[in-house]
Amino acid sequence: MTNAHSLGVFAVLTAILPVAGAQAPVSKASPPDRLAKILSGGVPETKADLIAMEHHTKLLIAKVLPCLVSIGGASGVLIHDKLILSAAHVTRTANRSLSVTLNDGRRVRAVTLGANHRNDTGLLRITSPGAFPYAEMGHSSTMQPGDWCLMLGYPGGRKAGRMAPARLGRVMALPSRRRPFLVTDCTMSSGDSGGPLFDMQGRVIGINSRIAMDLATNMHVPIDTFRLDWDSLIKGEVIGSMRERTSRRRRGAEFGAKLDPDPKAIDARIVEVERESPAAKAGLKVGDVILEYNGREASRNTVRYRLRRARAGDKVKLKVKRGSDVLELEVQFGRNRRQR
Amino acid sequence: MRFATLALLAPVLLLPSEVDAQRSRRRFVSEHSRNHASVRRAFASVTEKARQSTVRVKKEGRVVSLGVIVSADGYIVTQAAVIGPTVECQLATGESFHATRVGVDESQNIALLEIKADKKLPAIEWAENLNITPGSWVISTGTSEVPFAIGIMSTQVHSRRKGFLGVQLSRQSAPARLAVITPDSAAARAGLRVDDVVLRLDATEVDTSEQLSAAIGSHQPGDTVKLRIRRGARELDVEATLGINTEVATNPQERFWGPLSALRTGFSEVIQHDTVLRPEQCGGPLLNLDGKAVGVNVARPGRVESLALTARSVERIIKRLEPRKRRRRM
Repeated sequence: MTNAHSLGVFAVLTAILPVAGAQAPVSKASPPDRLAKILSGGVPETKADLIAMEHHTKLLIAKVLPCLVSIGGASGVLIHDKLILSAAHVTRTANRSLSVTLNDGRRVRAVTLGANHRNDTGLLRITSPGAFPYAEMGHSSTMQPGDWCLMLGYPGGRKAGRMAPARLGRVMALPSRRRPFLVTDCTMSSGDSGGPLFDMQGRVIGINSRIAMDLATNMHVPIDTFRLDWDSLIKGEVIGSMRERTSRRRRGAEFGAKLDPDPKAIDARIVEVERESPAAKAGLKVGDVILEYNGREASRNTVRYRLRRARAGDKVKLKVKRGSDVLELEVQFGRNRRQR
Repeated sequence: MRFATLALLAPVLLLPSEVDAQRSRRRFVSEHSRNHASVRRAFASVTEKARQSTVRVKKEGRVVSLGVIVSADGYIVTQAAVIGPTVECQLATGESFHATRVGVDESQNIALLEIKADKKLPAIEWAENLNITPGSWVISTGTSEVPFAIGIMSTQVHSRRKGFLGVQLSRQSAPARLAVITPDSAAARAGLRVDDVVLRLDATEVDTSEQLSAAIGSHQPGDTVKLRIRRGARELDVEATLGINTEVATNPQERFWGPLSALRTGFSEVIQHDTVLRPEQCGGPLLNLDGKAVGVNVARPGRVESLALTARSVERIIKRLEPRKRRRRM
């Protein structure tokens, strides 16, 4: 709970680490001032630089790992006063009592505090007694593109007996009006949600939120956004809702054909076409496999994704396979009847 | 088992961004990215020797995999998944050789090839021990001067073999009630029945389906576990010898994000790293900062991880696949 405690954890771990096999020949490493320059937006040039970076990364992982927690199948990070930072889409709502698993395997009780679904900020507090290791909050505003960073989380959920995978990357883009996230190339996946992004001093600068198609676009809620939301998060206010987010996404348009319901299917195979729907009018038939969607290679999941985002009136060019033929069709989305 | 796993994941799917899907492709290569040439260049001196021991494996003129020269007389290790009966191996020098397949270990995605060169080939240097820990640099080299990808070791060396009981659990999280028993599975052989409730596995108290999944998953195939179950009003103990899980509970969302390799499980001992690899970039050596091979890249099973089989596992497989005649000669 005190700073001394968190420093104590660090000291213990750094002492243990060399025994565990991190025999970095530090003597051949670049000096600290050069390392600092590389880590803030620079690139390594020599083997000495690489040795210094490696040594630093190993110590950093050992330092911050104890602060990571598993919340259901997702992640969070311990900060001061038994508080846990996570994502709103993980905590969902206030006053939920749940079980949190610490990095060392201990299970404790926690209660959700506020959540802002518009920013994807979420907060919890541990209710079980005890002292816990915690990380310091940094400042996302000080980050620049090219800065190195470290990400932790439990992709696919916590695996018993296996350390949470660490990912090293760099800041690719800063938060902007259009996209209020820190973007890094630390690859993340489901379960990483709510997990921490650290600067290379081990301060939390972001919380894992969402991803785009591209492996280099991993989005983290900037820690400064938590500061803006802080009072309302502590008070347990819930702003926006999961439902709002979903319904906004569902404003989609009518297509009139259904894809293979098996989420593991790879082919974008049509299994149902509604009569007189836009899809039917364009000539789409049951059994057709969509090969290309507006000139892009298509799979079951990419087509589903794009169909959900289409608007009434949009036109889409499809290349479909029917038996051994390949046809080109154009579908104009209609107004979604269920939505009116 | 799969019910429980999927239920666990369902509430926490990352939200795909609404605006970025199309726009972001452009930004994939940025001067700021970790894998930019300006960063990779620093590793060129490290990989100089090992790249000479790396080959490009071609099928019908197309590179389908990388490979590693493992002996001076022409044995090459590569990934099994892509190898047909006729492939060519192109060395770093540019010379190409027709390769014959000596043996395959499908479960570990390793194939052993042989080429007949009229000279001694530069065999890879394996790291003597696994002197890497989470955070260590790991380098994936091809045949060119600058390695094509770098990353860090993400977590400790582990096995991807999971014990398999052969049950599906009921949808309710608690108690851990059996809903389906797979025929011929460990559960069936142990006499477990639908509606049995598992109370304890060895010394671990089991309250929920998730706890049971985790407890079984932490065991290796072949392990015998003792289960305390409640059947109706009775409590009884049964022993089950776990099998191998051939079916893998994958996260369907993963499919969305680019090419992943087909083989996903059963690896005996792997190094998990955060390097982004395409399937055809597997099969080559994974190096430490000394330029020694710590493993061979065998799979890209998810958005966040690549897997390399450890050097000692690869060496064990080579021993097994080599023709007997040759083994005696050595």
